[in-house]
Amino acid sequence: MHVMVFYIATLWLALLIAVGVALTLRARTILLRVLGLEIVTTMLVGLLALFAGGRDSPHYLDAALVLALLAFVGTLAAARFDAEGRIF
Amino acid sequence: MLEAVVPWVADALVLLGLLILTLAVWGVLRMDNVYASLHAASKTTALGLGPLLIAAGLENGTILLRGLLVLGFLLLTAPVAAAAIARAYWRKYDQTTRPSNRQPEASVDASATADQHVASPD
Repeated sequence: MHVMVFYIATLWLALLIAVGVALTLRARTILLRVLGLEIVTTMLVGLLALFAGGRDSPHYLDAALVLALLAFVGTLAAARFDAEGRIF
Repeated sequence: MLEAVVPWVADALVLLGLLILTLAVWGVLRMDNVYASLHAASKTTALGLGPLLIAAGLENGTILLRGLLVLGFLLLTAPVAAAAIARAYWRKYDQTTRPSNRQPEASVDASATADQHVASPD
């Protein structure tokens, strides 16, 4: 991709992450907060994919994979704990 | 010829992914119902990150393979996470407060305990 598009996309994704953080902080219930964190994680994975393409290095995607995995486990645990009072 | 087109295709894919991710955030901001917010957020996760990951790997095979791995993992886990949030919200807020669920008291209790037994065999 071109350098200009890379910069614009990086700035735009940072803006989306800021909106996601604001959404998480202003959430009314715990589950809405979990949803906000899910959105922030999605945007972070997108940002890491963008950096992998722009810097031409596949190592960013390792971090993206680990981030997606940890966010999945955390979402499941938090949702179950909030609804039923225990995880397992 | 084909080499010259590749960066433009990557640009188009990046812009498409950004558009879909923006729609996801806008949908979550706009919907006041949790289920509608989940509907907007969970579907756009895989759909918006797919073009970004493919655009990153158009010029490098290693990045493409690793991006497809991340994309496959997201396609597997995003619906499960959204279903977990929706199920938790339903069990906490909607299951007992809905009038349609509360009307026949005995049957609701029976189904609730049966559901409890199915959900937690301990």
